[in-house]
Formats: sequence, structure tokens, C-alpha cells
Amino acid sequence: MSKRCVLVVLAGLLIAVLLPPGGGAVGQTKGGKILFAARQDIDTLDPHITNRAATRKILIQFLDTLTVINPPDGKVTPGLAESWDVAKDGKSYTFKLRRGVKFHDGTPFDASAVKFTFDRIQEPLGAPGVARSFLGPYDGADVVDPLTVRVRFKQPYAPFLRMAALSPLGPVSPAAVKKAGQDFGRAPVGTGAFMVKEWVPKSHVTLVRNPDYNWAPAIAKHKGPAYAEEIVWRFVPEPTTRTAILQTGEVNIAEDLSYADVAGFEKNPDVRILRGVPAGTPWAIYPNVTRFPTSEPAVRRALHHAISKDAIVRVVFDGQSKPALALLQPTTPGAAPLAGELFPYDPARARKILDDAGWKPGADGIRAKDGKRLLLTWIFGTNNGYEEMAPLVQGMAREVGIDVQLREQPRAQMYEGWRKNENNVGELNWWFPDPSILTTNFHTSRLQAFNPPRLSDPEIDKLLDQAAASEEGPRLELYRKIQRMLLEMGAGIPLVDQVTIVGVRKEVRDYAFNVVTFPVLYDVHLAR
Amino acid sequence: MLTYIRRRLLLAVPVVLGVSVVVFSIVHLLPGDPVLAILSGANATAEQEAELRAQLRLEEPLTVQYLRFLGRALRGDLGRSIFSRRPVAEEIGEQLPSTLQLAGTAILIAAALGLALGVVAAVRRDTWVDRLAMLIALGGVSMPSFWLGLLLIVVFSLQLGWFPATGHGGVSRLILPAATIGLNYSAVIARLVRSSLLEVLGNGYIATARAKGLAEWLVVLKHALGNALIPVTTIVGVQLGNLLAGTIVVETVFSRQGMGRLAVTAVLDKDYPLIQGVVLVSALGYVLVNLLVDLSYSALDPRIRHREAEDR
Repeated sequence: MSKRCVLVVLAGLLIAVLLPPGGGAVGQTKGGKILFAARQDIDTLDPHITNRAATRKILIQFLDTLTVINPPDGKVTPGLAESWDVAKDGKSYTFKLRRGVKFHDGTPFDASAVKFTFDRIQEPLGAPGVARSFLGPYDGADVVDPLTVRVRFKQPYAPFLRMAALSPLGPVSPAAVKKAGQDFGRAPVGTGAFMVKEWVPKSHVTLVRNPDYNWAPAIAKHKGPAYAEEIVWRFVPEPTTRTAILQTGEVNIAEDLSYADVAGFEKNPDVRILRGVPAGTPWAIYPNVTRFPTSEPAVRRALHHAISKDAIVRVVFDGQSKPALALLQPTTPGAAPLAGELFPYDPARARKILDDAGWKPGADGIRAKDGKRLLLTWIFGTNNGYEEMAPLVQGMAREVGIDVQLREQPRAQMYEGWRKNENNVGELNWWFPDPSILTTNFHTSRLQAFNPPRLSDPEIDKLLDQAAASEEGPRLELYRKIQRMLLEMGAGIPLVDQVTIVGVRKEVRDYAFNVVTFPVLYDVHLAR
Repeated sequence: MLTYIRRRLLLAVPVVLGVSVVVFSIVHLLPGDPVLAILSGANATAEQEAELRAQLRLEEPLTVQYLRFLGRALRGDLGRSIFSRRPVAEEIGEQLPSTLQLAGTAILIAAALGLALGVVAAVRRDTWVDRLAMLIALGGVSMPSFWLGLLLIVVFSLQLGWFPATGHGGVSRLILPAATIGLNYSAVIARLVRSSLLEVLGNGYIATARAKGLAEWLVVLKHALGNALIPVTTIVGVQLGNLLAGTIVVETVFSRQGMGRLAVTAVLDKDYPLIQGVVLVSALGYVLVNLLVDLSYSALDPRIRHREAEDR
């Protein structure tokens, strides 16, 4: 060969070696293990049985959903369904499914799998899973052709596109369900970027990369299989332990760090703190509108004016969050931040409202009317998150002459207390991608289950029902109107926005929150 | 000896039966609707409530439900957990090995430390050695296990990096949690060894042994310690029985599997079948340990051994 030939060949080899491998967006480092420290233990891995957020954080790693919510704008985008049509009467949705998708057991994903999944949710599975209530007034599904499925409802169900983005409604493999029977919850099969390898109860769940994954949703940062080869999801209930093992590197991601530890981490060069604001409802209290004395609107309004939300943020949350201005989290579509203008912190105004309503201060500073003390009973739930806020609110209420009596009970008894009307103050907060959560908190039909203010207002009910059946634009307007009415009548007092705090070690890149701040580990890659 | 064992085993049966009746009654006689308690906070539909009610068959008379439970339990079927849908026996079987490992190791540490401190304190009674040993024991029992566990994690895992803080499997993950429990429990053992040994050392035959010219350590360890250990084994047995029921605090701090977390989760979830299964297994564990303790008496004290022989 001539010298020039050799040079050309060498140059060609050099270029070939230096060019990044083809395919895929950028050549991110593949491989590595994600070691995740989770706060709560799970009950099952079966999406149709579970009712815990802890389980759903794992479900999203191995299940895909028909639609996906884009966190920045809250819009519904394609997932396993490429496109969809909503019937004029709002009672049926026709989805065109993506081609070439397979379950982890090799069986194809198609319209009959979607129908099987939704039908299974309706079966009595013996445990109270959230999937059933997410599916709403489901009336059956029809397989139009292998890639087209029509889902029907008994009445118009506007939230369905958002509900279809939630993991409990993620399609599961019919073949795997039939084979595993009751044990499907140990070895579930979906279409996600990771596959469940094993679940050691109370210890950890191991997931491995799905090498055939090629159908990432449009909003993901890359296509093709996940970068990480394995996820070890460990249950570490003690927050101090989570902090410690994040520092030693025993895990590289730790969720729900205690607020006090965050300051320490800000100074640690090996760890980054990520904050997410989930959609849903904020930390809030709900005065019982049927029980004396919170049955008086004046008392409810005075209570709202008496609470300094900034103080709660400072003392309880160590400055890591913000005062809540709406009955919905700011990242929920349709949130109406009116509490700041309607009920600013103003103890003087609170006192005037109570004076005008005939509540006169007694010798000990607590007001009374017609011989009855202004006494509120607040039964707060164990580990429900309000343990530190309650005494603070009690102190602030006392300043304006309201006596708040605190009692603690396990959550189950607290809910019973609501039903038996023993409580003047209810407490509840949700992670939820849709404003229809207001129905759960304020509709008469939910008195048995939730509805902490025990509200039974026909006009509110009518507006909530109307919103559930309307299209997106008018629906959100209706929810804003409902929130204004609810705030003005004092049916809810938002306190502080929920914030999710996650610590990641510096080698973990592209960690993302979904719309309710569950961890999206698909795009995560570990730098060397 | 055999009649002794047989007799103790027979006596164990009514104990375990009694426990099963008590636990069954308590769980079913709790105030409030159990179905609503199970479903609370779950956003369940009315249909799901009706299904759960039918599934639990709670309208049947309590005796019928109890006999059904007993019949199945005798065959090894402890029912299915309401929340995980898995057999209770399987759930318990998964958590038990971790608890057994932790309990065994912790008791060994507690016994070793307690014996060492107690013997030293007794032999050198009323000296600074005695006071120091008892001070260490007092410290060990005063430290709450929650705090002690976190302290050990911060020092030995975070700062020194000697041991991992969490998980299961392998000796290195066992050391810190076992040490937490061991330090706590050793205190009681130390004081008991000390006082028991002092009492035995005051006996006549000890003076005789000393008069024969035996070395002091031989006197203490060979002649005195055996008898002194009888009350100690009782206490160690009680402690071991406690540990077999699980140690929720240590399991939580160190993120270990174990019967403690299983029991607490079951109670908070109102998962009746699981609660019953866990309590039953813990009771069985206790009975077994007590039997072993009783048997150890004969091994430790020749007087008891010979008295039994004479009884026949």
C-alpha cells in the first residue's frame, strides 16, 4: 500500500474511534445503580390493590400510562396512547395506542390489554385500592381494533385524561395476571423502563433496566432504554438514618429529608438538594361547619385572620416552603391564590369580627357568648404531619381569644371522629394532579369518606358536579369560582404549600419530579 | 428429665391457647367498625366496603370465627393479610430470620458484657472497680435505644465508616443494631450477676473451697458462678422472649426487617389476620424460651438435677 493509503486508513480509523456511538440523543454514561432511600414501606406491588403513595412511586418505574402529565404546564400529553378523541357527551374516550410496545414478559401491549386492565380494576380484589375511585363511573371498554380502544362511562367523566396518567391505571400484562393470580402483587408485569426483579418485604425492591424499552413518552429527555442498569429501592423509615446514609454514600438518592437537615446539606459539596412542589392540596385545616362554635361563619373567618402563615413556615418548615394562598397547590391547574387578599394575617381584624358577633373576652382572655366558651376541639392524627402546626395555631388563636383544645389520635380514629362530628377542625392534604380533588374535600357525597369541613352545600355540590362534566377551559373557571366561594365561607383555611425535598449525591444527574413529585428515574444517569 | 420436659410442654399448650383467645377477642371487640377502620383514608367506594365486609365474614358469631381461625392455625394456615393478600405464615416467615439473628446476637453481647461487668464488680466489691462497672451499667440502661442507635450510626458509620448503617445480611450489618440492644440489656444482667454472685460467695461451701487453698478465680468461676447464674438465666430468658417479639425501635432506626415492624404495621393497618398470626408466633417463642430456661436450671445447679432424680 502507498503511504497515502495508509494515512487515509489511519485517519479513517481515528475518526471512527473518536466519534460517539450512533443512535440516541447524547452519549450519556450507561450503567450504574440507583440506590434510593424511601421513607415509607409498601403494602403490595399490585397497582389495582394499593392505596399508598409509597407504592405508586415504585409503580411509575415499571408501569407506563396511557397519558402523561407535563409538570411545567400541567398539560396532558401522549404516553402509551398516541392520540385520543373525547365524545361530545363526555361519556366515552377513544384512544389510539402506540405500535410496537411489549410487556416485560414479551407479550404485546394492545387494546385488549387495556380493556383487561380496566375490567380487572372493577373486580372485587378484596383490598381498598385507589384505582377503582380513579376509574370513576367506568362502564366498560371496547376493543375497536388491536390498537384502538374505546373506554365508556356511565356519566360524563371529565377528569379521566388526567386519571389515565396515574400509575394505578397503568396497563398490566393479562398473561402475567392470569399466570400469577393472587401473587401478581409480588411479581407484577408492565411495560415500563424498569422491570421488577424482586421484592424483599420491609427491606427493599430491586428493579432492572428493560433492554427492549423504546417507547418513552414525548416529554422524556431521551428515547430508548434507561441509563441506569438497576434500581435498589430501600425502605428507611427514620429520617436521621436517611440523612446519614446519604452522606456516607450507602444510598445516592434520599427522599423526604427532615427540614432541619437541609441546611446542613446545603454546605455539603457531595450532595444536592432538589425541591419539588406537587399538585394537589396544601397543608390546610377545615373548620367543621356543622358543629358549634365553628358553625358560625364569623368564628371561621376570625380564625383565618388570626393565623400567621409566615410564622408556620419559619418555625415548622425551617423556611423551606411558602404560605399557601389557595385551597389547591400552586402547581394544580385551576388553583386560585385568593387567601392572601381575602384573609391576610390581621389579629386586630379577627378580634373585631368576634366582637361584632357578640363574643366578649372573659377573665382569662378567652371569649364567650351566652355563657358558652369559644372552645374549638382539634383532634389531630398521629403522624399525619400536623403535630407541630397544631400547637402553633393554638397559640395564635389564643391571642384573639379562641381556645383550641388539642387531642391526638391514630388516623383511623380521627376519621371516625369526623364522621361522629366530634371535631371542630379537620386536617387533610393531597397529592393529586387534578382540581377535581376539591370534590373529595367538599362534596356532600364524600361525607362518609372525607369532606373534612362536613360541608353539605347544594350550590357547591352543583358547581362541583358541573365542573366534573365540563371541558377543560370552562372547568377550570368553575373551580376558581368554587374556591372563592369556599374561602369566603371559611370552609377551608390553607396554611403552607407542600414541598418535596430530595437529596441526591453529585454523581446523580437528571433526576426529575413528576406532577405530584414522585421520582422519575428513567432519565437518570450516574456520572463517573 | 424427660417427664419434666413432657410436663412443661403439656403446660405450654393451654398457655398458647389462652393467648390466642385473648388476642382474637381483643382484636374483634375493639370499639368502632373494623371495616371502616381498615378503609379509613383509602378513598374507597361503597362497593369496596361491601366486598370487604363480605370477605371478612364479621357478622358471624365470635365463637364460630374463633374456631375457624383455630382450625386453620393448627394446620399451619394463619390466613391471608388483608393488605398484601399474602399468606400470614409467609409474611412472618420472611421477617422472623432477621429478628432471630438480631435477638441471638444482641443477647450474646448483653450476656457477655453483663457477665464481665458483674463478675468484676462482685469480686472487687466496694472498690473503684465496682463503682465504675456499675456506673457503666447505669449508663447503658439509661440511654434510650432510639438515641443510642442513632449515636452509633453517626460515630461508627458516618464518621468512622466502619459499619454500614442499614440493611440486612452479613455480620457487619448486625453489629450496630445488636450493640444498641446489647448495651441496654447488659445493664440489668450486670447488676443481677453482681448481687447474685455476692450472695453465693457468702455461702459456706465457698469458704471451704477457699480454705482448701484453691485460687480465687477458680473459686469464683467454677464453684460460685454456676449457682449464681440461675436468677440470671431467668432474666436473660425474659429478655430473649422480648426480643423474639421484635424490636420496633432498633428495626426502624437501622431499617432492618423484623417482627417489630411487622407487628406495628399490622396493628396500625388493623390487619387482623396478620395481628393474630404475629402475636401467636411471639407467644410460642416466649413459651419455647421459658422451657429452655427451665431446662437450664438443672444443668446449672446440681442440686436441682439431683432433687429431680430423687423425686422418681
